[in-house]
Amino acid sequence: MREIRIGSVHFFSLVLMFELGTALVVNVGMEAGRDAWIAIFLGCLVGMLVYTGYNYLFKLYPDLPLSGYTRAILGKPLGAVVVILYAVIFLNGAGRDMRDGSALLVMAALNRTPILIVAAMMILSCGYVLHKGLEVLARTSFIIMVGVLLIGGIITLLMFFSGEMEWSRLQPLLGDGIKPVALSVIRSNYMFPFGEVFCFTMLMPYFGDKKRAVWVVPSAILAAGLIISFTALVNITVLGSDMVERSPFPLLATVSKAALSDFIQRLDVLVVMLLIIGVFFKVAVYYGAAVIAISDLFNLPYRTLIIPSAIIILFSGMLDSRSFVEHLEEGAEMLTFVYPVFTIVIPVVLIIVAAFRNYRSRSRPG
Amino acid sequence: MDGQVLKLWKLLAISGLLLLQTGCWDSVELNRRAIVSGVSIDKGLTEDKRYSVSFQVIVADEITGKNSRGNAPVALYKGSGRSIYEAFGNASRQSARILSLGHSKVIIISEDLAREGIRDLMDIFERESDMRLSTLVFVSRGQRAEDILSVMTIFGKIPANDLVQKLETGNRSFGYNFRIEVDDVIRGILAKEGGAIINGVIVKGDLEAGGTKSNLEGIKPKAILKNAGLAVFKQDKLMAFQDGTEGMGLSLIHNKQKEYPLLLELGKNESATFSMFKVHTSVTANAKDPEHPVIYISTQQQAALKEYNGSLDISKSSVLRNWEKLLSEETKKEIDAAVKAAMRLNSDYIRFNETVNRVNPKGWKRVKGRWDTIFTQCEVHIKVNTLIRHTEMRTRSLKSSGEGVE
Amino acid sequence: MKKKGQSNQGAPAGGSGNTATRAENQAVLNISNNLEQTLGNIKRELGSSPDLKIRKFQIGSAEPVWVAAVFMDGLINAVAVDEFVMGALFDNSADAAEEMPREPQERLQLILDRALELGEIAVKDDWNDMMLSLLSGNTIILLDGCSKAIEGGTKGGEWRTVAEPSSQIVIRGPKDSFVESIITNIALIRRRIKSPTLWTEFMKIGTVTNTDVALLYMKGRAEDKVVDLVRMRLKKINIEAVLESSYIEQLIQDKLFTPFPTVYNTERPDVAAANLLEGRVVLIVDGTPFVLVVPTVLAQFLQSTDDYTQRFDSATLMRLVRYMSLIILLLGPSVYIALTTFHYEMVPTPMLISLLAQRENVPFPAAIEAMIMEAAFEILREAGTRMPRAVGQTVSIVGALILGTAVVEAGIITPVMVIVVALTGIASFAIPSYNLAVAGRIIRFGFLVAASMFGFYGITLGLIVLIAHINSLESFGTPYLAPLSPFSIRGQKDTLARLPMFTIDLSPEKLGNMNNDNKSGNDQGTSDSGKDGRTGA
Repeated sequence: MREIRIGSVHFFSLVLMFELGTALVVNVGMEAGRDAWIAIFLGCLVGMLVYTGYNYLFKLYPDLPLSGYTRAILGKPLGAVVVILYAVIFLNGAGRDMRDGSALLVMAALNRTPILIVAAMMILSCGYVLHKGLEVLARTSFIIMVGVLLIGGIITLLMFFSGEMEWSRLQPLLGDGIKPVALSVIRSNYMFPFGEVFCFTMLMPYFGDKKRAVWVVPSAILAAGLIISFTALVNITVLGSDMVERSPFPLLATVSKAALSDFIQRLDVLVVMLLIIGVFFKVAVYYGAAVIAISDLFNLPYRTLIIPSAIIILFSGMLDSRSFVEHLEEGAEMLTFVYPVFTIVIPVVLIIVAAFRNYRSRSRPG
Repeated sequence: MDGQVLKLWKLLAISGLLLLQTGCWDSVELNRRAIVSGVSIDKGLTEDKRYSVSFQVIVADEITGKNSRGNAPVALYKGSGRSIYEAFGNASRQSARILSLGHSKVIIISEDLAREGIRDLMDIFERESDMRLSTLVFVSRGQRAEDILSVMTIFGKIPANDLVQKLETGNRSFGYNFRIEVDDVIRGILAKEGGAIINGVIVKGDLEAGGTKSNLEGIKPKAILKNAGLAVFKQDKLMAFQDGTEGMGLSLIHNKQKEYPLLLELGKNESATFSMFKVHTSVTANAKDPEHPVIYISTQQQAALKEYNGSLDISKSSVLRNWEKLLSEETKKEIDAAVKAAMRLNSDYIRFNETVNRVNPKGWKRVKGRWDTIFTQCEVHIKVNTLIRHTEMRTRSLKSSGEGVE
Repeated sequence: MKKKGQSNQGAPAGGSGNTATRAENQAVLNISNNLEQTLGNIKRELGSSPDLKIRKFQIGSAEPVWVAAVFMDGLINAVAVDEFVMGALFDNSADAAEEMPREPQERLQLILDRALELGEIAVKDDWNDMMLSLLSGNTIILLDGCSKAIEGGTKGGEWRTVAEPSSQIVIRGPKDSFVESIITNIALIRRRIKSPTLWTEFMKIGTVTNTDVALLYMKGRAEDKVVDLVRMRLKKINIEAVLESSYIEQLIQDKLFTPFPTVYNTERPDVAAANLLEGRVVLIVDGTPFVLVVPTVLAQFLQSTDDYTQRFDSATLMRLVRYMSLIILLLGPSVYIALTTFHYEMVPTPMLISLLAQRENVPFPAAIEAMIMEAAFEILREAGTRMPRAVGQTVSIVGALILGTAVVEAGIITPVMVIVVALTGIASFAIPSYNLAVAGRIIRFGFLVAASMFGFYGITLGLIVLIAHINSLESFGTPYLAPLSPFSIRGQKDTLARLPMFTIDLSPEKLGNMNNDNKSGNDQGTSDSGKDGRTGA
């Protein structure tokens, strides 16, 4: 594989698209009720904090992906085990997101299409783009991002002009105190979607401008946080927190309220498009991270891994649960118990070991 | 290498063909669809048929004309069942095409059903992905809901659209009915202390003739759809219909009335009629003591003189000042009537609960359970500010000029 | 794999290219001392073709020497041959007769130095060189007793004169276009760029046709890497015949499996000149008025000379219209299908009712209907292009008006479908480049299938894949979507919009070449390994 270098703008857009992913459309942080948007914003800040840890490791090993420096820090055998775990979690992440997306799509638009076909189409497209390379993925994300922001702008304008927004629905601010907000952040909000940025540790070495890398990802997280938070805010002002809480995709319901006379009605399909795009990038990034991890660990060519990984993702995603409800339950557990191990515990261990070694190697000659 | 590429292409081609074989699951040709323009829900006749649901289906051929057979532009399919969806299934069985709810504009609920509670039947309208949240909801006042959907209308051939337009036109300047959509109703039901507000609707005239073309043959339609009052609920149970001043006051409190007419009685046989516009109402509260909250309703409005048969010289500003005061009083009366009615019915559909919660969330939590008793004793201050900018195209009235000559 | 493709595409003459070449090489002929023998060889090799003209005469009075002027009738400039070759030989050699040396070599030199009045002259001692020169329209002068030949540049003959462009028409702008003569074409460009930095290289491609191909670039503006790459790819070409520049285009393009053109072509000298100034390389092939421009980007196919001859605001508007046309062309019918068969709730109710009434008695599903109409449209267009001009009009009238109306009247197709198809058809004409319009027309069918199966899901995924595909394309090391991605603010001045003239410089940065130093571009295109570049295409 030839050398990949992803430009700052494209890396930014890839992170942004990944973060927006499904989070834009589905119900995020609604444990906090009408203060969900605050919870989301706090989650975003926590996500940025978590990211500084990865940044530290990236600065130590600017040319290695997570799978590389894990082995460098923990030693070959232990490192390899950890990398395999990471590869599994990446594959799982891709599978879960694909399941999420296709289930939502089947619910919202394609009621009678077999979910397997929907998922297969998705993974085929992801595979094709990844086959073209990560650089192509990043560049594609940039163009799509422009489209997504355009759609977002149109929807926002429509919402403002349709007069459906009632700001009083946001009040009282923090009416139940900070506790539900904090709880929501701790339970899952910082992890979904902001903690998930951990799979970019696999892509960081491909960053073209290493100096700027430190800032690009956090700013993308922040931008994503602001956008998702704003979306939640719009949802609540339009529908009221009760309805938002009970709907799996509040944005769809919100947008269906936007109507300018008889001409512009039911723009929900735009939201469905946003969902498709979001799921695509989410799956593609996880999928790419998994493929890089495996190819790095076993020294296999990147492209030969694409089809086997696709098959694993497709079937693991499809077989992981019987229904969407079960899938969501599982997801909640994953977010509280499994993901933190990979996004926080292992990186923290890595940081400590690396810092210790760094300290020792520096102090020894001195 | 060549072989491999060939294999890949073969694989792709085969999978593509397989995909084509499986067909298009969700694709439905338009001429397989029956577009539903309105849904009405009546109480079922027997115990095991809880709901009787009618679907007004658009017959496109009759509307665009080319292949028209001169029949009714819409048809009503009716089904009953223990749930709305079961009734929908029963109705669908009679139809040659797929009943598609994506374009339904109105949902009409019969009064007797509304009195029993509408919580159960709203669920499907929120859950079903085909339905729109922006569908309007009505209560048929004293009549069966399906009768509302079976009236031939003059403008536009689809009765459901006629109803929507009447509502919008009315809300624009004269009526006090305003757009109430599915999600508004659901929010109303969800508010424990309050309730929903739904527009009432009736058919005026000959119900029998309304459903046939004879309704449109004469210059005077035999039956006409009409908005009638606002149905107010305690949670999901209909309590009463608010008409006249109470209805107008209700609309004002919700800040939904942008323009409305107002008549001032000025002594015997003398009156001035105004069109009020740029109306804006805001509701705030002082709830330092949540047990005894004070509610402030303040309305800003402008007035334009439309009709005057008195003898006052209205080129004097002092006269207008006086009228402004009278107009404010008049508006205040309307709002007051609405507030009194809500308190009488003991249902906070005028959303004082939200106002209190907004200004004092902690206090609100304390009194939440007892709001029923507190609400009826709320102190309400109504402040109305009216401004008459001008007297339109004439100054003095015909009467005063005529008298002057004599 | 690519080789196979090459011989298939490149050898319409039939037969295996390699054997023919070998047969020619086998006959190792030399320019012999014996004039008669040499002339006989020439005649034999050309199969005594009647357009081969040999004029034998003697020069020198003391010791006359047999000299022969050999040329191909029709390829030469008759005036030049008559006056400057024959006339000169007779006159000047008469003057020099006294000194006519004995040694053949010296005689040759004498003729070269004193007798010939031509501007372009060379000495050939290789048989194949000589024959090639002869067939290119030069006059060969052979001396008895000398084993070398003089080549006099007398190329000429009948060419089409410079006329108005026929395929790239503009409202305002130069009205000349390239012709079939490579020399004229180069001159047309040189007249526009009078700069010593405009460099030209010649090479001959085609083992049988020996077609002249000129490589033009601005030294200092064009990146050396790109020029080297073009040169390398041209040298790699192994083909018998080059009859049009598209032969070259198909052999040097970066990727085979893409509907998108990665080589730009133009018949307008001003466009070629502008591209040279922007640092691109221009390839002129003898015998065709279409010159190639590399590297290119997608945006270029949506530009027209008019963008620069009109005011910037109107130019920007026109350009946006073109981008919109491209989108309509790609998505028009598929969005219609998705809306009517999947997302009927999105269509405004009154419109839906009218659509519904139209569809009432139409026998085909909407997707099939669209396919039929699109196919019919393609047939009409194809028929229209190939028809003689006079009949072409009739075809379009019959097709567009009569067929369209009849089809609707008969209730086979809905009127809206006719509108949609006509709109996409017109949109395809709004795209300035035919190549890109063709690409759009092909992809349109893909979207149609995707939309008829999955509605907007299919369209969205299709769009993502399409954008990724375009993103993966490169033209001689330049990303195809530059300057949109990789993104460059400076590049935006002249991509979607066209800002006022003073903001635009013609520096090569417009190409978006600045941050792809990591790619040499040759790793995908010409490599036959296929592992990286091919499998997924």
